[in-house]
Amino acid sequence: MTSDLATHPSTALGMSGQHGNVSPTAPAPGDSARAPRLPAPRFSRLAALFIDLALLLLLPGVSLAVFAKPMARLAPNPFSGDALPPARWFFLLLSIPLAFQVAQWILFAATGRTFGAAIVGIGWERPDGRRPGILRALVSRSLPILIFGSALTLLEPNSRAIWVRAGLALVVIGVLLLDALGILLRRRSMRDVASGLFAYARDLDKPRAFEAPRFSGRASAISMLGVLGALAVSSLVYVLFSHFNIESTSIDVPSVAAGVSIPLSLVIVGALAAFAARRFVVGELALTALLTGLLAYEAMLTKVVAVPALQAFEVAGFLDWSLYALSAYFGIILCLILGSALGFMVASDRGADASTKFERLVARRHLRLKLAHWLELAVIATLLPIVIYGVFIWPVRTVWRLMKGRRGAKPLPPTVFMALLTIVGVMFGVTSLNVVLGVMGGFERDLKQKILGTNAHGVVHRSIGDFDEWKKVEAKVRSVPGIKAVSPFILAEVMITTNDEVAGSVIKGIDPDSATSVTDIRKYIGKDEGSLTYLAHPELIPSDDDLPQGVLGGGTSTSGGSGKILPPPQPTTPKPVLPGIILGREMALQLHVWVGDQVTVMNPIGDLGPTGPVPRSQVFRVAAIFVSGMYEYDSKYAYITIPAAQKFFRMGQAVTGLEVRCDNPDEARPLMRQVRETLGGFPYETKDWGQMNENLFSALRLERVVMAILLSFQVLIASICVIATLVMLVVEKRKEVATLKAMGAREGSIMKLFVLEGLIIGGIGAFYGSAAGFLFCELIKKFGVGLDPQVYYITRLPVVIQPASFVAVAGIAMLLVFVATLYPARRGGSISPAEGFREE
Amino acid sequence: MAPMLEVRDLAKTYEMDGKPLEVLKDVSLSLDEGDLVALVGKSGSGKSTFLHVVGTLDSPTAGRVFFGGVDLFSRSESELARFRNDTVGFVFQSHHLLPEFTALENVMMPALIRRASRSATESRARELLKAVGLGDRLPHRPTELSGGEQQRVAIARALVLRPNLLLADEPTGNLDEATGEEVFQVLLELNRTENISAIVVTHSERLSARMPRRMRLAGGRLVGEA
Ligand SMILES: Nc1ncnc2c1ncn2[C@@H]1O[C@H](COP(=O)(O)OP(=O)(O)OP(=O)(O)O)[C@@H](O)[C@H]1O
Ligand SMILES: [Mg+2]
Repeated sequence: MTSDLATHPSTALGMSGQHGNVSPTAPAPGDSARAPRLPAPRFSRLAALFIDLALLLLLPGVSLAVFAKPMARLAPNPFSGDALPPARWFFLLLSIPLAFQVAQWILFAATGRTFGAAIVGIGWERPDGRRPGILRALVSRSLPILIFGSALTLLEPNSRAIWVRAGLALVVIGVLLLDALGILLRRRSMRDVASGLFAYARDLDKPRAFEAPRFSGRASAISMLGVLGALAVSSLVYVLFSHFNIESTSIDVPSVAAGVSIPLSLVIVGALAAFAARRFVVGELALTALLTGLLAYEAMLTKVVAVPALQAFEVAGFLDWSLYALSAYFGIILCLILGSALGFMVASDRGADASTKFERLVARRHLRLKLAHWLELAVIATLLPIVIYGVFIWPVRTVWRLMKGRRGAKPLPPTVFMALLTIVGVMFGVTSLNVVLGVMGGFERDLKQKILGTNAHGVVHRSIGDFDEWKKVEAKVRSVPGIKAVSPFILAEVMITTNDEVAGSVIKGIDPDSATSVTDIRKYIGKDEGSLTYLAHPELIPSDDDLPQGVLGGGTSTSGGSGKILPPPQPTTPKPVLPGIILGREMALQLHVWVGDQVTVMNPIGDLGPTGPVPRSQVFRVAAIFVSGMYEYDSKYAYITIPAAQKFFRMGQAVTGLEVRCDNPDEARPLMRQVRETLGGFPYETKDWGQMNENLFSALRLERVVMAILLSFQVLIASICVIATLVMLVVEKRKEVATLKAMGAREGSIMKLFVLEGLIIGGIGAFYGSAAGFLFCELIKKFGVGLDPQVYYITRLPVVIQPASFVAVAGIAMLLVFVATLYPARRGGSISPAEGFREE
Repeated sequence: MAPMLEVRDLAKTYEMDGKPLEVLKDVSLSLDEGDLVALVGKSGSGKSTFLHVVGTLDSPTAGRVFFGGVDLFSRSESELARFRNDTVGFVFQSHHLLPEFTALENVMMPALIRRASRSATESRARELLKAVGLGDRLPHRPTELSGGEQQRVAIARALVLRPNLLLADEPTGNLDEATGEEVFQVLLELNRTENISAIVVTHSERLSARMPRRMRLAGGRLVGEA
């Protein structure tokens, strides 16, 4: 029964004992426990490696930041007048981090260590010889430097700041000294460290059973190059798309394509790395993230200090900018990790294995899900009338039924109950997100409608000189395909007064005939509130004929220095024909006037008199009152005819510009660009409605984004519930995991299984949330939620149901849930059969 | 030619409260295709431990296990998973059936893990369950089956993929004599027709006596043919 092979090389398997120590020489079997062996290196080699790479990368940046200024004073800025040639200056700068590093080495050499070990030895062990752990070590080592570095970037480069910088540098040096002290006080001998290091180096990348290799050089190379590659790919995509010049109206296709290509290629990179190592390569990705982050950080740090142009970041928008950079950075890490998780789940040693058949089966069974339940779900979701039942009553009854247990068997395990709670959590998150986004989208749509009603879709201006030739331009603009109507306008700011009220106003001269084809002004005039036709025919305005003199007299007296345009009161004519004006209702209320009343329009910068500008004024008769629904318009705008405006503002035949209506308002931007081209550019300028109201829309969009982020926290919390549920599930199913593994399920397969369980939970929640959100939105639409029109200026809560937004919300929820599943699923996957069976 | 399975100088030590517990000390064994081995030994002598290590469910403290000339414990986790799926059939001492699945599904599970088609697997699973006398208990869950019935389901499950190596830990331990005999016959039959090798742990002298090879575990060592 003994092996026929008499001898074989040392039985060392390079494999783990209980604690994962790597013993350089394997003890003979049998006396393994008592054999004296080298004490296990008690530190985290990875931690040490990370930290020291970080230091190596950080120190140059930090020292550059510290010394750039004094250096620059020593040798003037190479970018401008240079006393030292730029190359020398550069080497001088380089020498600083080198000096730093050498100083560090000397420090360690002085404590009796070799260089190599000294580099690794820094900062990982506490004086009492206990291992600080990777996180602690990282934090304690890098945090001061990071804080220091960040503080540096925020400082303004002036002379006093140099002292602050020097102080911060002292802090860093102090940390280094403390480290050295810690190492001095440490009793363990140098040889442990060295032997541990060699053992580690030897075992890198060596496959071991039950204990995956700790570090895969291939995977980290792939991920590192991949990140750079992704950036390269994105610029390639950008160039390609710009080259093929795909026309789109609302989005910038090349940018979007390039933007999409980055996360996609990062996911692929992560997957490739996982494939290369056949492992969920968290450590390697962490290294990549750290290195790329540090590179980027250092680049930023260095540039902020050295390049004057980038110092703008220090002053304006630095916070914004760094927030963007930070979120982009986390985005990169997230994509890599997602890709790696996917790759690991799919990578089997037989090639790719993307099937989830058996995993789905087990996952469904763990969650006690049956096809019948799914059908029930589908039916409920499609039949809107019974969604209420589906959303509110059916789940309660289902939970009740499930909790009581099936076929009189034992009741469900607590994990199933937790899963149900989690579903409810996700559902609430998704519901509220959908409803709020629907309402905010409604506000935006409302605003857009109103803006499009009162405003034209676009305007044509002349940037210099009087716009006298507008008739010719109008004809040209009208000939552009896609343009529906064109109308001239005059715009100016005036004051409108009555006997005892005054209001600032934007007065707009319009051509009553063509203006109605450009804006919805006609629609905004109520039945008993005058008429647009009165504008052109003021003699038709009904007015209190009994009091024309009195009112007129009042009007003239207010106008003070009566202008030349003001028709002198003519007692012989019972009713002087005054030009008509249309006011917004808010303004009319403020001025206490109604249709037929008179108002005085004053141009504050009228004529230049001997003592400065003398206001000019004219009396108008209110021809109509309009209500656009936008407070800003209804309280500000007033309309008169173009000839009246030309006369009042003494513009001759000129107008301010042309208003344009397009066939499709969403096409306004490219169309207006085209109009500009048709007109030959300068001196003509065009703007579309979006540009005219840029601030309003961007504020609204910002509000929407902020709300979405805030409400995403709810989904985030729900996905934390997913973590909790899955962790419990993993604990509960340890033995079953062991059994499945004994039957040949891969680690990745088990991970897939738990990820699926999380996704099922999240999916049901997201589905219900979407359904409930839809229902809510429909209800709001149908029955309406009244708003105080005095406050909101709309009578009902607007809501818009956008399928894309629903899909996006569900997608975000699923993404968060997916990320949440990774940790517990990974834990579940790594349960070894021996561990799993030990339970009993 | 190298033997199918070769165990060399295997040692397994558990650490209990810091004190080592040497369950297996120096176990070597080689097994050819079609070999049928009975493994006997006192309770606690390490029989189950031995089967676990041979089946790569647990790692040895020292020593190696070769299968078809391949050093198993130098392989990656996913290769070992494939090895267990393709080559090994386990019958655990405490069955380890999956509680959420019916008897039929439990038997089919290894094939599902292999991503075999459901229909082909199902007919094979039915056949096996019939062979172990459970043809009419297909839709029952483990909790609805007796200990002996569960054990037979576990045996059917171990055989569903026609493993090269069957590692059975007291497969007849919970069975009455007649049923135990039937199950044993199934084993012998499979060994004969499909040339399946097996290591069968048993406390039954009567059954072990009828096996071509017998080994006894004592004091952490295999002490020859019993
Ligand atoms: N995970 C473990 N940790 C510590 N000790 C263990 C572990 N697993 C098994 N043992 C010990 O190893 C010894 C051998 O156990 P094993 O289950 O292999 O015995 P066995 O021969 O199968 O016994 P039985 O016939 O009762 O099934 C026992 O003393 C047991 O306590
Ligand atoms: Mg046993």
